[in-house]
Amino acid sequence: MTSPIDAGALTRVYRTHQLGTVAELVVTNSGDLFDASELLNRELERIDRVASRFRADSELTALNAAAGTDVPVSEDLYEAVDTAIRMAEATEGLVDPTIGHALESLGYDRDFQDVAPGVAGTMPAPCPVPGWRAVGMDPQHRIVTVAPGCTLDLGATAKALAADKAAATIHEHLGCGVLVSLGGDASVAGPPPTGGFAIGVADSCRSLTPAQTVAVFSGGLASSGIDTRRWRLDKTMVHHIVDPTTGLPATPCWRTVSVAAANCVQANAASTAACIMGTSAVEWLEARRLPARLVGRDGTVHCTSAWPCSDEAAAS
Amino acid sequence: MCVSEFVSTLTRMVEARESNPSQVRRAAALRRDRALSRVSGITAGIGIASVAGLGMIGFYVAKAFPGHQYAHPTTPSAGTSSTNVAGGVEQNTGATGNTGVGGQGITPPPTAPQSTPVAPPVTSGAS
Repeated sequence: MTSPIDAGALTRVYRTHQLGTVAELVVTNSGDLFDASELLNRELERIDRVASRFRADSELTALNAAAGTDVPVSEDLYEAVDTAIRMAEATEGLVDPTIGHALESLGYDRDFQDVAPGVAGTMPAPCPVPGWRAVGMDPQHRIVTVAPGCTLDLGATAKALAADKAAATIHEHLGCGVLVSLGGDASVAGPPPTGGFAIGVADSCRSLTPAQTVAVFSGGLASSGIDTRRWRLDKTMVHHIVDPTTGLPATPCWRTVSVAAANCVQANAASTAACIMGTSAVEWLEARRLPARLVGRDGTVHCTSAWPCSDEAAAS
Repeated sequence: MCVSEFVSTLTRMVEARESNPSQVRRAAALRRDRALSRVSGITAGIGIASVAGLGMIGFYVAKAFPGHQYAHPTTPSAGTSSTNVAGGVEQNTGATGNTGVGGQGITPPPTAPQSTPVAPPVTSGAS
């Protein structure tokens, strides 16, 4: 069922800066925007308090500090860790939450805004991360056990999870159709407007205008790219998408990968995995029938068969 | 009298051994083989009982310690607010398209995205 609201009439957007990124909110009933923004802020504060690696008072920080012991955790953190583990399994270990130490070795040990200007240090030697199987989960007692020496980073999944949960909560409470976007990771819930929620897809973070606009009716759409979070580690440019097999930034192959999936968490995991696996990403995405748009380093656009390719991409 | 009977018995034994040494050897071999067979059976029984006992001990020890094996929860995958309670699952789906499909893997959206000429209020991939 779709609401009679024309997608083109959805021009009111609530924007805020949370979780180190831009949070955007669109609802099919403009009268619900204020209440929806309250619910969104509440969800963002909750995920930050639970899953931030940079907050000394976050539950994740406490869990990492207690590595090697069985730690009873809250329902929220358990869900966040469980989500990360599921996506690690679904991506055959490519999107792995045990990259915390690797990121710290690359200088990403604080909020990105403090890292972006550059950090001192030397490139670490290649070293595989511990792997998602180093995390023990006891659902019955809600206990998480992180292996000694292992540090969790939930950045690859927590933001998308927050988008999914915020969208679901807003729809549940207000009944309207809703689009929540956190740094470009978008989740849609409830009845979409006629023609769907319009989401622009950019070729890179330096693009002033989107390269293509698609209408999303359900699920999630997320983009990953090595250009979005880059910084200088001494004289070397590094980025935040870590290859778990080396503990180092993944070899650049795609500038940006945008994927649509059943929800934002899955879309984000797929786009991140594609950035890591390189040229085999198209086949991997096609095998899962995922709509995806991949932009090469030279600007060449590749689309999977489920993606509504524009004329430019069809010709490439 | 007893001594003489003892000596005569010994004498007869020596005479019997000397008269048929091959029979004596065969009998000794038979006795040895029967004894070895008994020992072998007893050893096998001890081995089987040990393995079975260790297996049972290991089973109970594994049950006694929680949380050291990754147990795949029975709740749906990410995107839902869910509580995994022993013996049951609570799931708050709340919204179309946000529920994890199948609980595992990555799956396409229920409705594929479509091209649209509408100006987008948000953009993905630009930040």
